[in-house]
Amino acid sequence: MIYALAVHGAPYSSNAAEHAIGFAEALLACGHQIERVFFFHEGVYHSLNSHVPPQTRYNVNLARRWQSLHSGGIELAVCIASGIKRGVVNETEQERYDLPSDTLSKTFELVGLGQLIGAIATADRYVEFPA
Amino acid sequence: MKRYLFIVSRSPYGSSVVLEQLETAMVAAAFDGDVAILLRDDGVWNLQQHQSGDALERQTLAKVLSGLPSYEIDRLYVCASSLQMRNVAIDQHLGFEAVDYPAQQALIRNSDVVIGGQP
Amino acid sequence: MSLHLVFSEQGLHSCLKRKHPDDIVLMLDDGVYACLKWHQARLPSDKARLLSADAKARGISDAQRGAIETVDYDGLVALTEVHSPIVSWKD
Repeated sequence: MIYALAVHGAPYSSNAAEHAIGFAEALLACGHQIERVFFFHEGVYHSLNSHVPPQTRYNVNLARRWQSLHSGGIELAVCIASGIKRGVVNETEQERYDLPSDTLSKTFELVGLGQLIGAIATADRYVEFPA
Repeated sequence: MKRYLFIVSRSPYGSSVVLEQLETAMVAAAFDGDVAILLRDDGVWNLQQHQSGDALERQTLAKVLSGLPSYEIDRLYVCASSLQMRNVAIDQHLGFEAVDYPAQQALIRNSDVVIGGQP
Repeated sequence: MSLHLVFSEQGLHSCLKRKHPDDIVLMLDDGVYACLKWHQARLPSDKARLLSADAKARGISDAQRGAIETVDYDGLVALTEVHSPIVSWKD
């Protein structure tokens, strides 16, 4: 089956990512396909390139776990409207708004809402992880 | 064609969530989705009369809702019990139909995709 | 049949009013605390599941969960295979 996932919670302040990653890894292990993981609302903070995992959360490096899903061919897509207003910018947006640096991790890409709907339209299932 | 149900449970000005949800609904409709919207709990405040987003220098949510039919989103529902509990002075022009729990249950079951959006 | 993912006690209340009696409810995150009241909420235990890691982390004992089964992520995947739509409830 094909799945589309959405993450609405920020890293280390909600468990949205832990649940989404645990679910995504199990999906792949069960032979399913993930069309796209979409980061929306405060979920966009996952895509910042400057995270330092807290020492109180031993063995949990969310950026590394996303990276590993991405290396496995999973597309990690960040809502551009939710992202840029929260400081998530790629090089194009950095130049457009004349900002000091880009902040988007190479693991993620900025996309429009059409990419969320496109993934859902293609998928057999849509699963949402709230904050 | 997928049947979408957007469930809105948040108030209009407490956060930007509702606006982001409605934008998503409009995109789903633009992509040929069959879109329904259900307002529940604090989401029913989006129907309150005499809203003025101008006072906070932002969009008026009721006005955004009134534009939904032009995106071919005309299956518009509101939880009757949530309305009653809050005593909302509802703007009738927005065209939302008050529905009971069994009708909401049917709405969910008849959808391919439910987008809850509560962040 | 639908699958309901319940992330909080308030989420369970909102869900129970709007779910079909045959639908399955999976409680995860702080939603697992709601299992302590499942009998009051008129949710039969055979329609309820708990995400095992979340229940274990929060100290939900076997006695507290009663007849409600726990599932791991593979179990969650299996539930999503046979249910649609999947609805998340946080508030």
